[in-house]
Amino acid sequence: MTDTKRLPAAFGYAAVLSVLIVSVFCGLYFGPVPMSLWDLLAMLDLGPRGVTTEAAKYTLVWDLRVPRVMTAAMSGAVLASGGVMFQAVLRNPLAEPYTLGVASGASFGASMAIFFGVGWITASAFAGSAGAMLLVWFLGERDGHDVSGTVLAGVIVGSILGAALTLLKAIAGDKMNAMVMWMMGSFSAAGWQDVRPMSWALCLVVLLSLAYFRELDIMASGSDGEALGVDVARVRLTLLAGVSLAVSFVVSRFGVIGFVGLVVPHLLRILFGPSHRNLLPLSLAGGAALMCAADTIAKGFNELPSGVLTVLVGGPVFCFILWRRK
Amino acid sequence: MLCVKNLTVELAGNKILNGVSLDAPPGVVTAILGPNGCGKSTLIRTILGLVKKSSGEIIFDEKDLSLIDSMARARLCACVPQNTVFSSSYTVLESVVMGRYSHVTRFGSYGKHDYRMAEDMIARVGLEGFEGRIVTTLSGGEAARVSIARALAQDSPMILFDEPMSALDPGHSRIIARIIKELAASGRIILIAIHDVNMALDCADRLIFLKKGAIYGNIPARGIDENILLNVYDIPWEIWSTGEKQRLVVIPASSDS
Repeated sequence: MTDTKRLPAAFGYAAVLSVLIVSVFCGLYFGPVPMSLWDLLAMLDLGPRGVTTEAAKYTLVWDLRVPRVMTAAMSGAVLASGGVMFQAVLRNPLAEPYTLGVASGASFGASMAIFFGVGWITASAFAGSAGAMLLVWFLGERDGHDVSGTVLAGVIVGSILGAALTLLKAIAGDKMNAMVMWMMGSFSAAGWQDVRPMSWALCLVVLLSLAYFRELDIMASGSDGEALGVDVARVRLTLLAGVSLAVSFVVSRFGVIGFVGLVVPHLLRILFGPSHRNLLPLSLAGGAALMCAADTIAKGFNELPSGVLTVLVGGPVFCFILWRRK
Repeated sequence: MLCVKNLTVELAGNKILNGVSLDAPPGVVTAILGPNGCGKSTLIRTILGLVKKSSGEIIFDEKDLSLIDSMARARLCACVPQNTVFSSSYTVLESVVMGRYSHVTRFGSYGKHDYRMAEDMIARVGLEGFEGRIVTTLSGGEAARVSIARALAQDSPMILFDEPMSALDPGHSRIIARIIKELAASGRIILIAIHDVNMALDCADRLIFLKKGAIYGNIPARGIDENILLNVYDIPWEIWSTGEKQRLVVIPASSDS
């Protein structure tokens, strides 16, 4: 597949939505407690009438699997569409939603909470990601026009926090295991209480996508956006801050889940072209599908961290994409 | 009419433009000439709002262009940049329709009218049949024409060109010069920053010479003489008149003479 041969967008929507439906269904069906297909369909009000299910299984599906699949799907959608926006705004194919230090800030915040034994891991992770984001902003965005300054500030802040994190792990003793497990990212503890914050994050990226897809095209094309009428500094500020905030919701609750924001946008861009009118909705659905699939596989391997799976699967896929592009 | 009055631009403590004043009327191609570093591109970028002015006024139709937002400015003034480098694999049609950005509302999308206009502009620059081509696969001349088509799609009464022929061979330069003259003939204000004096003589009606950030001369193209060229570029020049139309051609005098 070369850049000059794109698949039709309609095919893209059909394919990605089909994969998403299958992933969601697999996420609901597979798990440590086996159940029949009829049981699952009946509990989702999709099966034949008259089939009754045990209350325990009903609880299992509606209180554990449904919120877990929903949060995994919404998180994947946020990370993938966030990657699309970051790559366009920063004009950097290697940009992902963590480029501005959100992940390292969250990891540091969560690890501090674990280290000191306070219970507010999610709140501390969110504070860490927001703090890192503000620091990157202060260092890199003051002149309002230099993208490379922002990326460089993100790298530097990430490196400093990474070093601080290593130091924390070195002196954490038996708490190190909990820190490492948090950082690997997992949806194993997801519940209904996570659905609302994830839906806020999803609403935010959907709103940004609808409002700015034309600006993203102009910025990604290499054109001087200002000459075409785009207020580049304002659009960049809005998108980077908005996406970082949405990603902070995900990363502070479920840990660092890498590569979704990198692999999904690049794969879909190569297959269906760079136009953000299609790329953003496809990435929302594609990210959701990938994350659901990764989480379902993670469940099958005794709750392997989803973050590890996405990198283990995403890394080779990304290498394959790069190889095919040549 | 575009009126630039006493425009001064300072970048990092250096005065790049110093009290520049000029008028660019509609229907006339006005070329900005001068040696490297004289401020040609800065003048174009300041009119576009890409560089902040230190003082002075840029007035178009009684509006100060530096006081209006970028969207409104893009509806009044389009630009063909110096180097057309497309970094992403958009099609020619997708790239040209981006010129319609300033005519679409927030949450809106490009409509049929926008796509029809983009197709018309692609045809106008002689790229019919290229609508589906990926811009990163185009030659330099084709990419420059895509850039012009996009500026035309902005449907603005003023178009600024920043060294439009700097990377083009003589054949493609001639095509661009023809398009520029047609645009002026349609009543637009055309301002070109250009370093090739012969190309400026080929397509411009007025020549404005800049030297060290200030206006050195503002003359009709047929009024060019060796003295102004000597004083602007600090080397002697010869002027020749060729062909039935007595076209003027300038060449730097031999260093032996």
